[in-house]
Amino acid sequence: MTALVLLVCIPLVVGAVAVVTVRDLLSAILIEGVVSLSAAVLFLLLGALDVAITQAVVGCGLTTAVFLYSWRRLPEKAREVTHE
Amino acid sequence: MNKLLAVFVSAGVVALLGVFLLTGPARDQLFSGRSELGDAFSRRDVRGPAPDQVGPGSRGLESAPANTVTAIVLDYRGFDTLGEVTVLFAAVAGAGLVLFARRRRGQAVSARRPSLILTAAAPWVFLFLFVVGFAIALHGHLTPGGGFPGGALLAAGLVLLLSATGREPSARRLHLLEGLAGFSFVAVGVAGLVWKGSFLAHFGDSGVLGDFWSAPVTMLLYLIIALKVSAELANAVRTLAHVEDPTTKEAP
Repeated sequence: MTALVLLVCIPLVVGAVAVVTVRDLLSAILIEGVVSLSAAVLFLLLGALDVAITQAVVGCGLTTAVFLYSWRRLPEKAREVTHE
Repeated sequence: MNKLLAVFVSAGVVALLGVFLLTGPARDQLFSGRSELGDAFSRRDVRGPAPDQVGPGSRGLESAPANTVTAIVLDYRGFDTLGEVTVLFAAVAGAGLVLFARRRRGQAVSARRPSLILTAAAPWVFLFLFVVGFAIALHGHLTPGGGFPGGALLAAGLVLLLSATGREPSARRLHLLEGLAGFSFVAVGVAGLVWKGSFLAHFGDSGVLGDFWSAPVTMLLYLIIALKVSAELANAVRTLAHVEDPTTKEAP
């Protein structure tokens, strides 16, 4: 059980770091979806079914969709993060 | 498009009925009134059996949902939930107010065609989301979940449809659905006031703990909440999808 929880935490932590470091915004949005999904699995393993369902639908599904709609409105130049 | 949506929705209803009628536990729930899921959930106990334990089969309870969270959210704290739904409405209305000015009328969301994978998979995934969403909302008094996640699942299905086909149910219908759901919530509350003497008091026979047909008012309220949440979320995403690009003017 603990091993399983730790296994789920790996994509969670790695993804969370990747979201803020990756340059391409589209990749960041998709990685954020993976992070949300890992969080949902984590909640499921910890027995919080209500939270897991909501996290999967709202965090992974709807939020990603909203981000993608916003991303499509961005001009080409703004789609990549530039770190000065 | 409305024809397509009607086909999707009616296929979803048929699939929903099929799932409910043809699978074993659900059929038992419908016709003999005993729900395995509800039983299992109401039997759970963290400290071992209490002396006068309330378990599956208990009758004449003050509040009948087997799912304790639901009993609190919709029965003892029903008024809070009405406020919560109102807050959600206000948030979506606020977002709509800010974004409304830039909305394009009657325009497909994307000029580009969505990918083949999306268009091919969308109807099936939509059906799945539709069935699961309604099932979660309808079993809110028995199992974890309920109207809010169920409604979010329904909204996710509608958003998927929007992404795949570039069209969606009209804003007017969503508004109508949302308004009707909000009105029904208050109407149920007023019915409690009339019959039981306090707003949102649960009227009617609370039934047998763990049954599918128990806690009728809870079930009704969660269905209303699911419809309201799905209409609100779908409308919010829909508004966002229609926002015009503020930086570049579209060619006519």
